[in-house]
Amino acid sequence: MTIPCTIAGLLPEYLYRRLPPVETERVRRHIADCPACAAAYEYELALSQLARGADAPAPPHLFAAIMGEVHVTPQAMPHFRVTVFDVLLAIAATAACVGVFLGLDGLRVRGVTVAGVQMAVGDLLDTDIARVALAFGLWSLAGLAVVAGVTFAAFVLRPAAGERA
Amino acid sequence: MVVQAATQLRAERHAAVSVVDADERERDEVRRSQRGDADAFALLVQRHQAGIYNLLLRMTRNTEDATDLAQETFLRAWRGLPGFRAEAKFRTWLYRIAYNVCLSRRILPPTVADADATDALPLPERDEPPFVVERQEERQRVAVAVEHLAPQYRLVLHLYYWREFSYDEIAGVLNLPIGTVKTHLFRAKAALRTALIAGDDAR
Repeated sequence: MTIPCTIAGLLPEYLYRRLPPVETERVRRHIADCPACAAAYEYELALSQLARGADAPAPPHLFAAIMGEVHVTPQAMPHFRVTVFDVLLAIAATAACVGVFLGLDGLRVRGVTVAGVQMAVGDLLDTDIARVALAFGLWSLAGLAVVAGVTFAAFVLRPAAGERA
Repeated sequence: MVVQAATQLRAERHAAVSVVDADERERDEVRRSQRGDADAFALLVQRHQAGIYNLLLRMTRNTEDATDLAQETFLRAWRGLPGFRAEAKFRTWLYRIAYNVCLSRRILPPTVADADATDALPLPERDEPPFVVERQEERQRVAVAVEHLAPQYRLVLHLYYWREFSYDEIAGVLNLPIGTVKTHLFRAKAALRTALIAGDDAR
């Protein structure tokens, strides 16, 4: 006996009531009219009945054996999976940090003080170019903060892969 | 009639709420276990030990081996719990560990983990009559036939009918696409049907 109906593939899900109501009704009506699918459904039903209540009880000592081991076994520390993206991000963040450090150090070596910078900035901000430069600088700093934040999240906050499901 | 329908509706709602409560309770036990609470883990072991043991018993067909592997499964789960990300249900994750234990002990052939290996499995005959289990002896005969199927068939049949996993959950356990899971299940049922028919002919 062939099962020609495409609905036959839905029978196991129908059996376990996992179909939406409309599909459930469609399958129910089809089974009533189609002897092949009715027989196939009987087969599904038989397998499920066979399975129900057929479990052997777990051995009485299994639970104690597991918990005995659990009490003396430390849990594994979460470990991280490092991807190529993580490495590139870390390199970019490091390069940005080094660049900022070298820039600030260069200013310090040349004897530029905070007060001097404030005066110069005050003078410069009178021009449009200076305002654009300041905006660009702030934007760069914000970008740097984002890179640092993402790197931190990728390496520190990301949950471990563990035994993946 | 109306009263009967209302009673059924109430029963279904009650069952749905119970399932939600049970899921939430299990999530809480998992969270506590992840923080090293062995008492919470004991509750998870109590809930799942019979299921895991029966799966492994079906795979190994030996009570001592099944007990040994069940112990290994739960220990791996305990050790790995801090890394469990709750993207899947706990039971899916736990059965995946049991499946990995079977693979590592070579109880299952490595090809079962390969989504492309489906084509290598024998195709069922489409003209076989469906087997209808009518009597207790017949049910016993089906149980014996299942025991003699190839391990990968026993695995999917057990997860679907005995553990009542959805296609989605089985896909999570085996790390296979849902379409491949459906194919595995279809072929497993066909293999079972073939075994039963062969048994009929032999009698």
